[in-house]
Amino acid sequence: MLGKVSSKRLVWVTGALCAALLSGCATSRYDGRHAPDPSKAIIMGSIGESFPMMQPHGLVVEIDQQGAPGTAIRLTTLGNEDDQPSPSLLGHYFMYEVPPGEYEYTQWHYVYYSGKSMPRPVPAVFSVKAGETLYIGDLRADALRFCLSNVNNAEDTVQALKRKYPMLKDRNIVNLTPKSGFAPWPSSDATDFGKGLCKI
Amino acid sequence: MKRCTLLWVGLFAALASLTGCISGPDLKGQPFFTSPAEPRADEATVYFYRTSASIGSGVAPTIEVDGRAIGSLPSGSFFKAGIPAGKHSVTSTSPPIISGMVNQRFDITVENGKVYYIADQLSTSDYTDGRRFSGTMFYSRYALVPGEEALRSIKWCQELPAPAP
Repeated sequence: MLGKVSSKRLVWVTGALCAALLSGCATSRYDGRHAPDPSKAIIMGSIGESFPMMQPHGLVVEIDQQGAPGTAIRLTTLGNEDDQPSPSLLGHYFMYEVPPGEYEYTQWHYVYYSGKSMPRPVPAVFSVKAGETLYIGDLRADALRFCLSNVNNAEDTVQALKRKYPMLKDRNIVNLTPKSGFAPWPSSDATDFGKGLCKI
Repeated sequence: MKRCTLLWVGLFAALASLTGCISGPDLKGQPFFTSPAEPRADEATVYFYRTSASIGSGVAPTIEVDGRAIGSLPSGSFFKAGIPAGKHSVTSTSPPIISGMVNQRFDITVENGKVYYIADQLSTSDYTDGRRFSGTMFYSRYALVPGEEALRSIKWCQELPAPAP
């Protein structure tokens, strides 16, 4: 039977199958248009890359649920809306509905650079419980230092998130950055300019 | 199988096996640098480190002091060496396949009881702080880095595994 299927069609079918399988690996964003699942948590924050002299390079940050392969959250600046008012900053506010558990920032990189994040001495891990609504931080990187930080900017970002996602308006949002935040995390493209990595 | 195909397969296999040889020991599971060891009074403590770099990440140069190999530096690694006081010749030798591009030789003078940090660094622009032992067209260098600065970088490095007995 297979002999009757043209090789061109076989390639298309294989491609479609791969795409379908891959799409199952990444958790899709939650837009708040349907009622949240009480058995899950909502995590939110922002991602942004600054490019003072150049064009954006496509920041990608991955968050994996520990012990649950195939549930990666893949945050990307390219291909998403731009919520940042600055012309030299590209990024957006995000919200995900996730199962309770432990989550880890596993890696980050730029689409248009070959470097990848250095192994971390201490894993960047946070845990979420069902029913919680959590602000996990503002992820920021630039292509000068090649370091990613997750900083606490709850005061401004949570307000912006409430404007973007009206369903958050009356929810109690817990600031998780004391656990989920992290200091500058270099990639293999980071250069020590004589002050140590992540310093200019 | 055609002779040409065999040659290509052989070449590919040889290159693949060479990659394993020149990239150095596997750092998976090795501890990260936390803080310098208490220096011994009868020697200088010298840390050689190299943060992960996209350029040359598959190459681990061998470090020799006064002609004696004391360790290799895979990308993202560090190791500690005890060196007696005085002036020493340090050589970093890369595998022959890329020799001439990143080989380096420099002298360091050390004192007993002190801690030194020697960084193997790469940059896309030239270094201008004057802390350079030698340089190449790729702006790679070995630098004697002040402790405060070194600690910001070496903490991202994993300890080189001890050589098998």
